[in-house]
Amino acid sequence: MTPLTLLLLWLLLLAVAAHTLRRLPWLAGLMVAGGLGLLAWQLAAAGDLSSWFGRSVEVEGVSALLGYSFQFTGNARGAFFLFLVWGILFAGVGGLAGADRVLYPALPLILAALLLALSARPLLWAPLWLLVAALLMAFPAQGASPRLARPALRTLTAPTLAMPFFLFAAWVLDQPLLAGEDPALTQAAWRALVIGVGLLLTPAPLHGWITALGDHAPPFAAALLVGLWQAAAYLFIRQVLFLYPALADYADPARWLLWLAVVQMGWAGVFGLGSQRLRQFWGYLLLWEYGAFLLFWGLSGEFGTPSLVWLLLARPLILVLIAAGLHTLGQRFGEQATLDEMAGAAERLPLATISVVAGSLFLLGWPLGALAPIRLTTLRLAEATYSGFFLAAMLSLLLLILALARAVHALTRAPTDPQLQREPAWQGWLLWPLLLAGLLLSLNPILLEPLSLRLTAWLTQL
Amino acid sequence: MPTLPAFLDLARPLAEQSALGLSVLFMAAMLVFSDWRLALMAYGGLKVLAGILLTRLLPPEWALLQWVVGGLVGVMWFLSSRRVDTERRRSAGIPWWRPQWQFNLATYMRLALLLLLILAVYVQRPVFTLPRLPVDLSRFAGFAALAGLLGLGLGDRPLRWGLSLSMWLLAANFAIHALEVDANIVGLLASLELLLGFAISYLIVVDGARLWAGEEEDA
Repeated sequence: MTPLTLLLLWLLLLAVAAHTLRRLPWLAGLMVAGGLGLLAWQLAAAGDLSSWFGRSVEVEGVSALLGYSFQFTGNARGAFFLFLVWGILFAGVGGLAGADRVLYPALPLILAALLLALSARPLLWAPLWLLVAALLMAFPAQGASPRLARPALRTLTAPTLAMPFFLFAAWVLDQPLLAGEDPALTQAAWRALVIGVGLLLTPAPLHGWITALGDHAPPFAAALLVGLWQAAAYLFIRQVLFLYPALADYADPARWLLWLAVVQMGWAGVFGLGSQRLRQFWGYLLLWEYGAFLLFWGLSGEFGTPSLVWLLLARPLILVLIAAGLHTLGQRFGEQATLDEMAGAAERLPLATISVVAGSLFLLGWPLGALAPIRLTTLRLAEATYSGFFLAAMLSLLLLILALARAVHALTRAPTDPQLQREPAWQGWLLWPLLLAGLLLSLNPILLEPLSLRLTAWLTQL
Repeated sequence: MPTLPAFLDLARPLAEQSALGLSVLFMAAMLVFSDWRLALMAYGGLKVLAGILLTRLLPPEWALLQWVVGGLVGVMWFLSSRRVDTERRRSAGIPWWRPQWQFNLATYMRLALLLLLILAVYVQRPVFTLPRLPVDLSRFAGFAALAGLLGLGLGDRPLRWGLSLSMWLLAANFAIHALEVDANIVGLLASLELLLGFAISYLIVVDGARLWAGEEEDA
């Protein structure tokens, strides 16, 4: 048995068990978190992966499907470990906070599709499995209760549009003799590859899936899906750049990534300021964060892999904190409550309000927050590289801080509903550790370094 | 009942030219009609013609997979849309047989945008030079891709989104199969369309279920 088969079987079992326990969502969440945790422990503890849970495994084994091969390389191991961290945090905290029950069976299946995408040949099967992951993401985006299908529909769009470009590029680049015969076709293949990669990064106007998820999807699903997709897209594109280095000569990612990033951040800043609802603001906050990640990627290039991995490890802590707060506020005020209707939140639901406000500040790079070191580095690099981009990033940041101040003003007003219930006591036990973890990471970012260095080492084994 | 070779002999003249014009009409109908029954009929017609057109690039057994995929997806979308429509009609007290064709403002907007697209294509005559694809099919694939993108910009109704993505994938079928005749790729694109069809049919139901939420809580 290959490691890939073993992992897929385990994930499938987890999904079936979580679906069976759907009437007890907290148990399903904790079980998925435990199951994923076990895998993460095994991946981290086992040195060469030759023995899993006492069973011998063909480390170099290749799984075959329809004539195509999949292999659990070091790169796939690193990527999968990263996804596991996200999965454990969201399933665990979501289970305790009472997140939407569709998340738990869907989560192992999404991870399985992403695992297959990163274990497959990059340009043929990998985009298909990314698309399957996006299709599976549509289910938690929709949630258990009937709601607008907009976020789910938009989640499907970018990978579907990108797929034909990858198929075309795969066909041309797989035939090295063709380059001499028909240089125009080879140029067209590079162009198709750049378009495909660009589409996966969902630039404006395809960014709508992020804001739609923030606005309409359950908060835990929104944060998890945006974060997972971004990590998967980054790791996939990184793999493509390693395998086809000439792509960087055709279109230098260090240039177009920055443009994509600045447009996303600027867009988020301008429209975030006009948000009438907290969930709308959350959507733009996710979009800004997405852009900030692209900016750091574009500025640091491949040399910044350890920093990017650190960022991908620290981000779920912050996103899950905000999602937990928004989930509680949504339960009391309704998902589509306007800022004016949320008066009294700070008085009756102080922990949820603190989670949203502090989490937003952490995400934006507030000095006492987990992401502060990386945001500071981004701005320094931007300043050293392009002064225009530095100013644009600062302006978008300022606009979002103003939007947050407006939200805080609305949340801290006296309650208009005297019947408004206080938040459950157990929430303190859930949110305080997350807040403290964010604080600790900002004071000592090296805490995550052993893990991020190990992951970087795996990710370089292509 | 004609055999497959006899049918293909009959369909050959259709595959050359006339199927293209008819397919464009079906695509236009898929974008314009807000009535799901008409849109799905147009989708069925497009899939039948696409199968015939693809016989120019693929062996007939593979080209006609479009019929199988179109049939399966069409049935899924039909059942989902009918479910939503039945509930809506029941709650509004409208009998199932009464047509509800209406030209509202959104229909006019879609019609105007589509006419603009057809006009632009007619005036500019853009040829998306897709390698190894005959010029007429290349223009057809280009139109299908543009129509798909236009459809995605027309709103967030799951059925229209599904129809638009299927037009985009149809264009991809022509572009890819002109380069490569490979059973795996044919299967890959067909499975992709089936998966999308499944997801969209689920979304049609859950999007429509907002209208009868409460009645089926926890169903």
